[in-house]
Amino acid sequence: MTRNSHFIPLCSLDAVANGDIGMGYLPDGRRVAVYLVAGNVYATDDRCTHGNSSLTEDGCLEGHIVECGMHLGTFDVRTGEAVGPPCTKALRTYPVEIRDGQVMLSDASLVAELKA
Amino acid sequence: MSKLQSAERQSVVIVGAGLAGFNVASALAQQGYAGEVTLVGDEPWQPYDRPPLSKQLQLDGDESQIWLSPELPPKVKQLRQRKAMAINPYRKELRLDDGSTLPWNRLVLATGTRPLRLAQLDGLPRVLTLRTLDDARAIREALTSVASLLVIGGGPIGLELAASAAALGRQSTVVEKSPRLMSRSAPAAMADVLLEYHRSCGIAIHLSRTVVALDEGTKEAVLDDGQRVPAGLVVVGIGVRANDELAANAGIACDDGVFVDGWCRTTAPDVFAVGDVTRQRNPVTGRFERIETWANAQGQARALAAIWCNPGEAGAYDAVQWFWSDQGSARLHCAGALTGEQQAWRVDSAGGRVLVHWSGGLVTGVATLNATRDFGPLKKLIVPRATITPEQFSAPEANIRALVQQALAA
Repeated sequence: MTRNSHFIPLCSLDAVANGDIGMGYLPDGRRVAVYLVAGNVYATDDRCTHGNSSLTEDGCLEGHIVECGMHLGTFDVRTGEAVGPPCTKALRTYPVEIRDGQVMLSDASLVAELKA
Repeated sequence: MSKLQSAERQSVVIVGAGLAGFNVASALAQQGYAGEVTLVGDEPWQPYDRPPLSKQLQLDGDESQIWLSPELPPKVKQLRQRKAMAINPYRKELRLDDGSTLPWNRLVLATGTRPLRLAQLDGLPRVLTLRTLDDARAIREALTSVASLLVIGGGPIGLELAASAAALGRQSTVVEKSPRLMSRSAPAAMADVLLEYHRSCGIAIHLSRTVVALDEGTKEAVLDDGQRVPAGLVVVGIGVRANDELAANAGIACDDGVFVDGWCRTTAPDVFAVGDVTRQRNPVTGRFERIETWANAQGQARALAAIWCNPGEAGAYDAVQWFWSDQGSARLHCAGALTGEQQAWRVDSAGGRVLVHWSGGLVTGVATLNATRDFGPLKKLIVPRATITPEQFSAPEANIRALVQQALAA
């Protein structure tokens, strides 16, 4: 078992500018949005819970708040909570950490599930 | 008012259970408003969202996604299938169609609008309009048994519906009496691009034309120049008129819309109005306008709740107006007043278009087509009247979001 067996790389940290949104992929092909805010990294589902829109493609990050470009609904990237209309359903969030310059998914049970 | 009276629980009655009425009730409940809240609606359903009616609901028939959420808590009393008949502003009572009366301390009118009809087609079978869930169901049902849809009116709802029908394989035709699409709501330059897009999707669009008759035999419509177009189903989308009769009959100032100020007050004490039915001063144009957008219905309703729950802090409602329209795969966004004396365009690498208007050097309006990412940031320039210049905006290497951030930080 390697040191990183409980982790799944989502994207390279270099690919995410501070204060901006990067794109990562889960092993099942789903896209996740990766946010770098003041040196802290967060990850959520890429798909807005309201319209059929991609947060990495059309979203805009301001502090911890991501605004979906399609209908201007907002979420707190730390908790996934929907904070501005028309969004009302929370975004799924993923625990991540930075290892060896990679943004890694760090939830052991989720990692096991996705690797299974 | 005596101390005894002011200590009594306030009773709020909201007439109209669309987005605006729902949001007043929902925000009052969320913010812990102490009074009793009653939401009166004339439809049998729980409150629902209208944007899907011309799109997702037509495409997949899935009604599970249309209900407004989160559901209203039980402390909000909901009366369904009840029509409000008359306001007595002196006795502070609302009379309902079952003969009962509801007393109120504060009354909120959120009665919305209804589609305009065409006199020459009124009452004919196969001629529908789209406003309610029942309307949307009827259109969806009718579309299953016809080969063609004729939409009269080239506004957002008509174009969204025409695009949905085209996606379902129906022959779609739009007849618009003015020389261009979206003449009331989008700038001409955007409308021209949309026209090309819809035509490329196989939708036939006839501008500067009207429908003069329907041929029941051939299921065709006859246009004013004699052309015949397929019309298995006809949907009229030529605009709306305000449901302001309740207010007008109570002596409240109206003109196709209930006049309100920034605190949603009408000209009758303790009678308020929100949403499509209101005629309010647009902070960007300075004119009294009826603003028929999702964002206004939502924002004005939430503003009223905040004013009541937090009177010391809440200011007048003066949000910049904006809307989106998803027409097939085209994503249109417009904000503010697209009537400035100076304008500039950008076309991004993916073909998305961005249009900005300036007046006196300040940004007054923004429109994007398939460039949703730039819309939100640019819209922020309209409120604080921070600005970027047309030269900055038009520079080929410009990063719009970075420019906006710099302008707002300056």
